[in-house]
Amino acid sequence: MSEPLLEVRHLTVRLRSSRGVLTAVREVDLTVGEGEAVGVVGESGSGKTTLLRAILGLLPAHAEIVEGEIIFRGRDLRRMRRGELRKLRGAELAMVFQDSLTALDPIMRVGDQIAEAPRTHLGQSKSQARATALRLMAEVGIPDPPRRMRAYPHELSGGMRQRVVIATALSCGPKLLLCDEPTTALDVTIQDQILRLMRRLTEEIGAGMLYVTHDLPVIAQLCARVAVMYAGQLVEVGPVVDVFSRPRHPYTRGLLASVPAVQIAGLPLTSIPGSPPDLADLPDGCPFQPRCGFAQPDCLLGTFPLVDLSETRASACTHHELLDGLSDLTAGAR
Amino acid sequence: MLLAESVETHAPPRKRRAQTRRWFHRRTLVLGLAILGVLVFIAAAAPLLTPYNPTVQELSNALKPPSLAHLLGTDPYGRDVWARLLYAGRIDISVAVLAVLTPFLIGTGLGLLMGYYGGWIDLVVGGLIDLVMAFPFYVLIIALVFVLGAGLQGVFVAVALIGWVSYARIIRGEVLSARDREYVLAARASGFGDARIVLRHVLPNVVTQAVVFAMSDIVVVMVGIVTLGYLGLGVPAPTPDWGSMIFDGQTYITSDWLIATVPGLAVVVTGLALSLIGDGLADVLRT
Amino acid sequence: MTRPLLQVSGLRMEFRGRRSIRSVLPGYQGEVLVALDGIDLVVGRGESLGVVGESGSGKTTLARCIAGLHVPTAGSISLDGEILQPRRTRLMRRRIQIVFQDPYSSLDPRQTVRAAILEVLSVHRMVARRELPSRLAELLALVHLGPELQHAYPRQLSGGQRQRVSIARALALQPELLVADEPVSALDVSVQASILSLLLDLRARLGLSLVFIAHDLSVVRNVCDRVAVMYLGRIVETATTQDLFSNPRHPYTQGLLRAAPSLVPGHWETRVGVTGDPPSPYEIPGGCRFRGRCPIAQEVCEALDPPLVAGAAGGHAAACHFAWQPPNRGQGPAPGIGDAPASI
Repeated sequence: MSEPLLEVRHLTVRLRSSRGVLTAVREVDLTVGEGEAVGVVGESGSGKTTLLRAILGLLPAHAEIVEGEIIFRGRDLRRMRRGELRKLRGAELAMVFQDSLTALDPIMRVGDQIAEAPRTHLGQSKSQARATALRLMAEVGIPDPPRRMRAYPHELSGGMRQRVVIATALSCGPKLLLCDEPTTALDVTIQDQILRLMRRLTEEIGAGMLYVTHDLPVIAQLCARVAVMYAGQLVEVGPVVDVFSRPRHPYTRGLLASVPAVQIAGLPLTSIPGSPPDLADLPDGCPFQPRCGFAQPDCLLGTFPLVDLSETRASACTHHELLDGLSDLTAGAR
Repeated sequence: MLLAESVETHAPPRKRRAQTRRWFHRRTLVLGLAILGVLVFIAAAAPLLTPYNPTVQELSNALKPPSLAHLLGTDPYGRDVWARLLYAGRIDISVAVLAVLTPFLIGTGLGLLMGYYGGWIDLVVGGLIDLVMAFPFYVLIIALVFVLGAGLQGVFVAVALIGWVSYARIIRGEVLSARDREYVLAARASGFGDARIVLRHVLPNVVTQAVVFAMSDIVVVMVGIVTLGYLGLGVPAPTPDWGSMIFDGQTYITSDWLIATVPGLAVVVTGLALSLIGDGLADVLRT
Repeated sequence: MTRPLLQVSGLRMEFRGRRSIRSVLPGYQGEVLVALDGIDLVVGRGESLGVVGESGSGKTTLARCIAGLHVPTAGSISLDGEILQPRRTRLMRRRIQIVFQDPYSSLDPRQTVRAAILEVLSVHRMVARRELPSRLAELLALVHLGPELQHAYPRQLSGGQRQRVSIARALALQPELLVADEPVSALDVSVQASILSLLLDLRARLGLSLVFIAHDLSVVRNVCDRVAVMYLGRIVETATTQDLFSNPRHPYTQGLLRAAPSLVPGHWETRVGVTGDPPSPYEIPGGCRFRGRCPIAQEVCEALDPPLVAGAAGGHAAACHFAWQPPNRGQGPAPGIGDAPASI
């Protein structure tokens, strides 16, 4: 197999908080191939955003990578000098944030914002960059680019702003797009448009994508592989088709069962009991054990790292065979 | 049944102690409070700290350098500078506090009404605020004191008539954003009366900014009172006041420089302490 | 038929631009936003109605009008046959309660859970003074919150817990109608399901009627008996939940159903959602207000504003010129109608 585009090895990130030091990301191994779309699913507090920021080298001051490597196109990002990393960001590595209003500079015209990266990273002249911006705006489906490029962010709707953010991210032809729930704040109809656009454009330029969200159906439509994150650890990894139809971790199954689309009218709604653990005070053994319907006595002991089940799949659950024979939850949604 | 299991039980209510501790972590606040505490104590305990009466003149004793008998020497009228300094502090600090408290209360009340109800009251009071803001603070104060007559009462009324404007503006803005927050809507939906909503739910959540501003305002007002004293418009003659002390002492600045410098220093230190408290409070209350 | 619990007729809500000195001048109009443009709906006792629409559709304004937080420009709202006055009595407020979308801002940050609920109970004198603690315990148990949480401040609670507190506070007044304004959209998926099942359970146990506002059709599917779809201040389709999902008649409803991503990978390939942005509510287009984004728009759509017309049993109504035309006659809303039911 050829070398992956991004390889995260054993990444551990610690945060200092008022309640002491806590491990927000624990020994995460994750790869994204050339042109591959990988989804990371997790609830709030699972560490998915911290993981994304660690990869981009944009951790907040109170966070620190204590272990692990982040290898992007054969080079360890952690060992890169600051200047090199900066050249990478916005060019080969691009990020799409959740909140399009804060991701854009409020006092700069959107056309100039899209043109900024091609000017600094690709050395385009003012008129070249302007042409690039116009082309990108047309590509992301912004009507009347020559007029809209003179608009300020607040003059655009949420959907249009997110299109601008995507145009900015794509402006230098990135190899990897890091996305942090870019459609959560949008309406279903607009989310649908934006997701289709992102998938089409990343396919066109052959970019890989790491997409972080709590929304499983979005992953189902957008990604080939999925990694499920819980309390800072990956608990299941595999191809989306397999993981969603035959989950190998009780948490994944619980998440799938909570998706409204899965639930059938008239039947009682299912949910995962309890709430995610406090990272400063993790339970003994498997972090999911207190909420798990399949928990066994030995789940209270030892550590539960991700273990390969096959070439493509891995699970952190030592009793995943208990999930055998359960119904395919996606069948109800078909 | 599934429902029974979905009781969420994380995050136990944190101990109150942790919060009290946070206050003491704000070093600026503690330092400011310490300095102010000392100043207030000294001023309050003035009769115990000096045997002299600050207003009794003893011309034979004029312009004495510092000695054990007169810690900071005497002024041109033979009055003990240390005693005058202490008694002046009593006046200046208490007048400043009072002169801020009144506009604080007026401004907060009006700001609450303007922000919560809007409508004509907002337009009328808003217009008045714009009118007052159009003039420089000191010019307006001095003009008002001329009209109202010099002396403590005039100063006090002048500051109150002008000072409320800032509080009303701050509170109005805060109320405008709080009014549409869902907990205020929830209180309305619960059928609570306006008075309860405004006093119990809006005010406690918006007053912070005004309190922080009041701390810095005391400094401004104190400097204002001292300035008026310097111009002879403040506290009437024999009563000591830092402003009039500076005025009286400035003639002798080359020979007996202590007389004018010490009250000036007192103003600076008091202002510093209040500013530190304001900064510290802002940190603590805004988090 | 028995008298409905809630009846909304011809409800219209306009918002005027910022108040300025000019607004006191006679004849000053300013910008007018029509948030609700003639809403009629009925909720029976014990019934649960879902209201679904994009942002800007007016669904939150509708919720707030029903809860008495906005005074509508025109139209009427009546509860149990009695028309509600603009200034509601305390009793009327008690009978209609609302739960808000954002559990992070709907609780007073300076009140503990206990203080918030006790305040509601004592202002309305719901129980005798000495029964306050037992009623509080009862309410917390009703929403599955542990009694130890009563001393917590909102910032110490998770989103799900806060939403449970909001629900408990609303239930403290023993309302007949509960308006839930997107109560789960700010929550994590696993928590969403637990709040939805709580609402279902409360409805069954207390005989509550529910108006459930959502931006996502899939959420209302399990909770509501009937659904109304809103677009730019109008109801464009209403039907029983079953009918709406199996036989959507308005192209907008069909688009909404297609736009929601499915859990089945690759389901997307064949379906297209709704194109374009909704127009600004300040400049609502003439004729059918959906025509700019409609895949089947014709000339008639520009000329005529389609009324909400019932065309099938069970009160299924849609505001589209082609909603009730038999398919295969050229202009029918043919594309996508067949596969829509399978979509969610």
